[in-house]
This record gives sequence, C-alpha cells and structure tokens, in this order.
Amino acid sequence: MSQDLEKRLKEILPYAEIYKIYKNKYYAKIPKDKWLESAKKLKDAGFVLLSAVTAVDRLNSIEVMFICRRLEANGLVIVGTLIDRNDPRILSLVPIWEGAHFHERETFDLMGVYFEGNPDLRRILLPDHWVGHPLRKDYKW
Amino acid sequence: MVSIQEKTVGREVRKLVINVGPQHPSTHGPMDLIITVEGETIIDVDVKLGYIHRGIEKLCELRNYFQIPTYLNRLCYVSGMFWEYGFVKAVEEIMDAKVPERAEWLRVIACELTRIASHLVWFAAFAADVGLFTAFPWGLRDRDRILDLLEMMSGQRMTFGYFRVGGVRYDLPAGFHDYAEKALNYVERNLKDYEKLIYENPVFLARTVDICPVSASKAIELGWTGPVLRASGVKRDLRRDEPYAAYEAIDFEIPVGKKGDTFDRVYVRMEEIKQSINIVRQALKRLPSGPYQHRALLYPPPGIGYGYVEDSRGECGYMIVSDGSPKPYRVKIRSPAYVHVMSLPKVMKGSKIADLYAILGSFDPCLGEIDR
Repeated sequence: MSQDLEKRLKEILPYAEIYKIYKNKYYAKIPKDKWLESAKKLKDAGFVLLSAVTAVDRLNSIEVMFICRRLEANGLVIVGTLIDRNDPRILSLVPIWEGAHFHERETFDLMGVYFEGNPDLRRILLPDHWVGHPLRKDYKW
Repeated sequence: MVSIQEKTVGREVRKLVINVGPQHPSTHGPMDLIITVEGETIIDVDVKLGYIHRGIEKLCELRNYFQIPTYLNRLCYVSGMFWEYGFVKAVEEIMDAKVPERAEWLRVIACELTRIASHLVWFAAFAADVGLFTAFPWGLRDRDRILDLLEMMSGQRMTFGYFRVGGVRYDLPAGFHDYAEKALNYVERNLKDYEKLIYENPVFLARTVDICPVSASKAIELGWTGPVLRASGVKRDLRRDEPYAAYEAIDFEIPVGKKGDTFDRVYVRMEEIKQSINIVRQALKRLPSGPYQHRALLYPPPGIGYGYVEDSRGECGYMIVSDGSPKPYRVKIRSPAYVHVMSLPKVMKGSKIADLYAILGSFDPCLGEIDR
C-alpha cells in the first residue's frame, strides 16, 4: 500500500527527491521553478485537501512547504522547496487552492515570505505596524 | 438617518461598515469581524485576528520536548487533550517509538471524553447564540461530569498534561469504570432533552435550516476538516480513514449532513457526542492490561514529522522539524478553527446580518488555537 504511494508520487513528481517520513507520509523536495506545477499535478492526482502552507528558516535559505492529503485513500505529502532568504519570493498557490490564501498570509506574517499573486497579502496575527518576522531564527525580541 | 432615506429613494442603498468585536459575547473570544452591510445583507467580511497571539510556535523552539506539551494544552482550553496528543504523535513518528497497547486505549478514552466535553461547551454556547439560554447551563453542567472523569485520569480539569512520548502519564484510578458509566449514562439521558430542545423548536429550526449552505466541493477547496466538512456530506474522519491509537479496533459510525447548512453542522456534532459515548464504553470494556508507558528517548533524531489527530473541530496537525538537539528546530501548528474562521468571508457573503452569530457559532471558533 505505502509502496504504491511512493511509486505514484514518483510518477507525479519525477524531478523530486522523495523521502518516506512514516507509514503513509512522504516528504518531497522539489526545485523552485516546479512549485506551482507540482501543486497542480498533485491536486489532479487526488491530493485535493490542502492542510497547510508553511515555511522553515534554514539559515542560508528559507524552505517553503505545503502539505496536502488525499480524501479517498490515506496518504499525505509534504512538498518543500528552497528559496533565497534575502529575496523570499514564491508563486502563490491561490489559483490552485482557494484555501491557500490565509495560510500564505500567516506565513508572510511570521516568516516574511512574499507569495506573488496572493490577492490580499497582509499581516494577520501580528499588528500591521510590527517590524520583522518573528519565526526567523535571527529575529531579536 | 435622513441621508439613508434619501439614498434609498434614489435606488441606492448606503453601505455600512460594522465592527463586531473584539469584545463581543458571540465571537467566543477576542476576534474582530469587520462586516460591510448593504441594508441587511452582508456583502463583505474581514476577519481580524491576533488579539491573543502568544507566539507558541516560537516558544516551542526555545523549550525542550518535555516542556512543550505544557504550552500546547493551553492552545485550546476546551480540547486540551487533542493538542497534546498531536504533538506527542509527531515526536513518536520521528523517533519511531512504540506505544504500549493499554496506553493506546487510554488515549482513545481521553480523546473521546474531551470530544464530548468540547461539543457540550459548543452546544451550550451555540444555543445561547441563537437565543436558547436554557441550554447554556445545561451544557456546562453535563460537561462538568465529563471534566470530573478527565480530572480522575490526569489530575487536572482543563490543562491536562496527560500525554507523554511513549504512553500516558498515569494509569486509571480505582473506581473509574463505575464513575464513568454513571457519568456517561447521565449525559446520554440528558442528550435526549437537548434534542427535544433544538429539533422540535421552531425558532431554532428557523434560525439554522438553510442558513449558509456550503457545498462539498467548496468545503474541500477551502481545506475544511472535521464536523464542518462532514456536515457538507463528505464522509471523512481521520479516526476511520487514517486510524491511529486503537481506533481501528473500535466500531463506530460517522454522521454526515446533507446540505452543509448550519443545521447540519449542529446535527453532526450532536450525533458525534453519541458516537463518542459509544466509543468510550467500548474502550472501557476492552481496555487491555499491561504497562501504560514505555521508556522513550529524551529527544528525537534529526527528521521531519507530521502528527495529526481528529480534533473536535477538525484536523489538528503538528509539523515538527527536528535537528537532533533537545529542542525542536521548527514546530508548525495546523489549527482547524483557523481555517474555518478565515474562510468565513468566502462563504458568508449574501447572508443576513441577523444570521451572523448563528453561522459563526456553527463553526465552533476557539480563539486560543486560532491565534496560537
């Protein structure tokens, strides 16, 4: 069962490095220019439910991730890509999942990633006048 | 006043911006809804959050794995067990820890009792939102019987600290079975009163039926999970579809709605209370003997883990990135109520302003987990 999923993921994302995290959970590392394409392919292949869009500060770059899962069968994939830390820009997933909107707002607020194409990229948890992005490792408070 | 009338005569209704919150009894916490109305119809909603943002994700990066669950059960004060469990599950996945069988069953009991308590609080608050103030003390009265059980299990009424990596912290105390059976019977008996109170009440039905229906495809598109997704007719439950703990061995039904309107969201939760009572009874009957915790590693090896549990609101998920040190490198908390509340602007347009509180209440917002 889980091997089927791994094979399936390799078919959907031939350019990705795929690691198994746990039973039916996989982590796929993709190049930056395949970001939107991967999301679209995964959604068409049945990974229709977007759990989250988030980011991890990797010190010399920022890793942006989205987590999506299947509805009919079990299975979850975390897709991550590295972007430049000084110019953190990536395409927005809103054209693919409407629900990506507020996850991107949160990631922008706390990690400072600009999602190009997001219709309403504002701070959400912190006040509008806040300076800096607290989840970055070099944030001073 | 004059200007409104003048413009109405000119076939142009003036738009009005109203602030609901941040201090408002119906928002269930400090949350600000900035609604634009045209006459009585809502044409735009902007949700303003962050009034109790405590930065728990950042705090997690500064504490070790033993200290963190203390923060997490404060994420949502009505369903603390789930939030501890999600984190513990993610850590167990990274270190591939084994959990004794008895602990798995105790976890089921803890989670389902919390679900009953959480849904009862929701029922009390929602009924008060739509004008049934009788139900408010009723719901809280019954919830206290469940909290007594949770206190017997963990020593705390709300901030439990019950889950630990590799098992649970305490075994069941003597006499728990009898007390649990009494409390469950009590709640079950009262549930019949509740159903009469809401299903046979024309005022309640008028305020919920056909209010803000959400189609299944829309709900999936927005990433909804839990009771609100099931109310839209999608039979999706992580306890059944991606079983964890001892749920695989338990026989229970998944209630689903038909139209996805406010009434269905009420119906699904009321049925879930019954199913949870059923699950707790089964678990108490089949509880195996043996150890209730294993000795686990102090902290996980480098890796990434995603732990999820079916919370009383939806998918409560933790993504943990570990670098092999005693502290996690990054903890991402996936809150279901955040997703539901932030999609309000996308589903609420066109509703009447009088229905605002019924719609908002049916999503069961909990600001502790939304703001984190």
